[in-house]
Amino acid sequence: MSLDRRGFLKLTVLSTAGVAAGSGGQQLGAVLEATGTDERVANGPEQWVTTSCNLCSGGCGVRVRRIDARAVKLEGNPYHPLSRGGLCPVAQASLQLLYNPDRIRGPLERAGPRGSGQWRPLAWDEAIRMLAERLGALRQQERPHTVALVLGRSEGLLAQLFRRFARAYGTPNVLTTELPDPSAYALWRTQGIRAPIAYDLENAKYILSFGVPLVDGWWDPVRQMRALVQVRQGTPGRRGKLVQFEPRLSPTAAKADEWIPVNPGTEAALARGLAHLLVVDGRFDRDFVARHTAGFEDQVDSAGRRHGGFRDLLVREYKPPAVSRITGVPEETLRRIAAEFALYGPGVAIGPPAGHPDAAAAAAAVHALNALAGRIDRLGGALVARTAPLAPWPSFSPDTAARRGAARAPLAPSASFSPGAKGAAPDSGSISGLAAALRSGQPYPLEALLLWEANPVFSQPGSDRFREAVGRVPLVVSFSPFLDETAQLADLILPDPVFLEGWHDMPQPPGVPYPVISMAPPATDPLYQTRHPGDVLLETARALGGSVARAFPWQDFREAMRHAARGLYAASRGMVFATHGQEGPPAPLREWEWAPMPYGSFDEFFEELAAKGGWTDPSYGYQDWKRVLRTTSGRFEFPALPPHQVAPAAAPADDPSSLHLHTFAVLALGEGQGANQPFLQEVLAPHTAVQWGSWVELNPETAARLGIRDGDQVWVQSAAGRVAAQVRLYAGIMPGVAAMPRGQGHTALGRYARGRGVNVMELLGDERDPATGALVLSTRVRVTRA
Amino acid sequence: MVIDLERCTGCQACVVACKQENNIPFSTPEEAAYGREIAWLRVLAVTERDYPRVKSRYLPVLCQQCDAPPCINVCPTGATYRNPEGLVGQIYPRCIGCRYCANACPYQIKAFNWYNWSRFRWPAELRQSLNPDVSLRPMGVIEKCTFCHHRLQKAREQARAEGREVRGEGEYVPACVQSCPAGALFFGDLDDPETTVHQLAESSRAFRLLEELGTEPKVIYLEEGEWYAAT
Repeated sequence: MSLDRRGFLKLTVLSTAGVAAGSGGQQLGAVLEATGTDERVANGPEQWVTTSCNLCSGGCGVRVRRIDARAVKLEGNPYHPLSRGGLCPVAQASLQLLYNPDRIRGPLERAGPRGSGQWRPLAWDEAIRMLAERLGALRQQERPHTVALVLGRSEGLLAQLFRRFARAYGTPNVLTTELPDPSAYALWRTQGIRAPIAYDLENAKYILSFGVPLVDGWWDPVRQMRALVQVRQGTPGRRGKLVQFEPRLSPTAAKADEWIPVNPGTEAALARGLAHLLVVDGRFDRDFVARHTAGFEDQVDSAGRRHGGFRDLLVREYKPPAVSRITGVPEETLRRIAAEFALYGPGVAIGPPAGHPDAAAAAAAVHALNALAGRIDRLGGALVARTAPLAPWPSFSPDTAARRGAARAPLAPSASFSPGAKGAAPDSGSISGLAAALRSGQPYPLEALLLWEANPVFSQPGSDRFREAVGRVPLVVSFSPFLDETAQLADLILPDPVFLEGWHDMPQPPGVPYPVISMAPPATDPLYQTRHPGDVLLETARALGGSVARAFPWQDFREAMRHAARGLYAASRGMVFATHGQEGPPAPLREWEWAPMPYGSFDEFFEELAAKGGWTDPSYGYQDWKRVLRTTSGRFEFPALPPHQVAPAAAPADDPSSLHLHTFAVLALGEGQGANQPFLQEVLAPHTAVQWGSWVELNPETAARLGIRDGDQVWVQSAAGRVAAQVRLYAGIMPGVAAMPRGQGHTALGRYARGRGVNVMELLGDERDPATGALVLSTRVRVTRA
Repeated sequence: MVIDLERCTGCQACVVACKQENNIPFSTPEEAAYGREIAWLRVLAVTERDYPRVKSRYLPVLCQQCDAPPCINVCPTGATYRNPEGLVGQIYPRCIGCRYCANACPYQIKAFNWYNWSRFRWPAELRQSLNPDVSLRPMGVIEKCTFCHHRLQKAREQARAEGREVRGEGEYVPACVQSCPAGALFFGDLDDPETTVHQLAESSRAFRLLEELGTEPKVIYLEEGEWYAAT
């Protein structure tokens, strides 16, 4: 990197303008508030508590420093097998979540008209009695199916508890706002397993990433950042390579060894084009393809008709010139990357993530590339996660009312595929279908809506539609710790504590090949009158009585968690994050030999588990074909190839002023949950210097064509709506594409989030991936100067 | 300190960890627009070349703890000085807020405290997360990275209690180093040949920021490597 003083000053001038230039035009008098002497911060005894973060699916290990009862800092838990003492900015800022001045202090009942912001505080007993009475009455009237649960996460014990409640109570309507994972679709289509693909990134030496934001918020960012270090520096003298195909130079693309811009939504064609080259150059794994796959060669059916196999279609349809035309990637680049992928492995192809146009078909095509290269269940390849041996909850028998209710047609049936939790029924519906069903009142009107970690009014396209739809439900119950956009419309708010205040579990992060789960105690006492949603469910079940109560034999959520943990104890393998005698200066975890755990009793085991924050069993047996190839044929089934199509959001338009809008998440904000923490509003994206707001990225060439300059205020207009934002010219984006961050533009969620930037969901239509029903997080827009 | 730019992903966990540890007040959108946000550590993005060969690199910049710091020469009151440990110190009660040092710093990493943030900007709830080990700065003074000096003091007390010297490595790390999820930051005694930082500093990838200015910085960066086809 070459930087001289002049260049350096140019870089920093934006961020330190106040220091350099003196003042920004404000009256100095207004600034000169009374000079206070420095105040003292109360001191007290220091204490450390081990827990885990639950702010994304990564579940990093956390140690919380306490002074008296106050939590003053989070540090990484060096014994956590994935995060190893590292923490991302979101975990670092989470004390601003705990001590956020806009938290809900206790249960609230709506006092004025809906959305008026008038609330009456309630006692917990009263709140739960109220909920149980309403739910009980619906069951009495044989209408339990008119209750819907909307979950913000689909994995973990609490999500399972919600699903169990739905079955015991009698409703088929459990929905999640999480986008279905396209890699889970690919694994299901090719290997017959409904779970996200686990990538052995740490052992790979050549990663082909189809737009996966490895380091900016996808799956388990801290694990992936560490894995990248392994890829580059793990083997002395052998540097691995990351190739990023993406329309935008994202932070992951910036960290890649090679960024290759690709036309939005054409990843499927790109993957097949690379597969074509592997096949025609004879660089595929013949042995694996012959012994463990089906559908590669042409087949003749019983009637004597010939069906083209995967090879045939690839060879005929995906020749480099055609693929280059579709994807915008030069032919020579395609040839070079295909050769490198075959030669410099172990290599693995990953992605694309949820939300991309045509993500599911592309994920299947990318996974087929892994199969061709023989990267299925091999070191550094695409694996199938081993899961933790948690004890299943005891079976129960729902009563007639529950059975009848649960057998009703769900309000918003999902698309043909929904991954769901392993062993549990897949969630029954798509969240967007819910809005339509509520508005039409078909097939039946909804009487109650319970929302946990879900804020669809903000996070789904068409906030007005959702607001109106939610308005039609007689009882809306939110577990949100903040008055977010959806909680504002609730009748009853039963506030969840922040993760630092309660017992919680974190399931195995997606993409991790072996079990790593957290079961963690509270790090601080609850600040306010909040209650764990698990405890609220158990109490409500008890108040409902009968077979519902019998399905929940635990006193509180901790006890339910203890039940699940018995499976870990009984498995007699794996270990808690650090064993006895491992205190002292942190050392990296080593490979270890297996031995039965040295605990005298389950109680002793659980105590240790909670004190150390979690359990892991970090081993993986590669090439266990019986376990990983679960199709009816027992082979890897090459996905049938429909002709290449471009999703409407990505379709090239004749009109040159129509741009493709690419939306992206920034690590700090996630999908908007981080927006109420000031420290996170200050660290949005280093390349733009924008803080506390939104921006539109345009290639200088696009901007010149549209007569737009850097810093201009513009309108971004789609078929669904329009928003205003400032333009940042950025050479790291394809011409013809505009990019905007998601997660800003809250109209609620407290003083720090409200009114910061714009919500790009206002621009999105309701385009869905045909295979998974997942929302497409991009669309077509026009950008004009405001 | 050694910063391996190949590992850094620009995630800014270090930035937030620093603010939380050192009681740095957060800004508001208006003040951020005036450039009054305080950060002792920033991640800059260097974008080079044009589309499609564009390359973006992240550069975490904090006080370089120079051995020849330009900031101390211009300070009229001796508020900023080089202490015996080699750290560039800032004595808040001596600082008159002239900001000469902030302008003299070629790394532009000294911050002026425009507001009495602690009293007026932090709601009572958020004040509960303040760290008692770090003083709250009054308005009108320059503040800067201390390499988490309060942690060094604790480590030194511990060592003294055990009747030994502070070790060159592993005894304490600043908050940014501790948080880095990619393990891109390394910390220790550069003069001690046994330490990781000493060894990394001799790497062929090592360089110092603007060292042609003669500042003799003690933060060493490691350049990103390039992929090559190994057989």
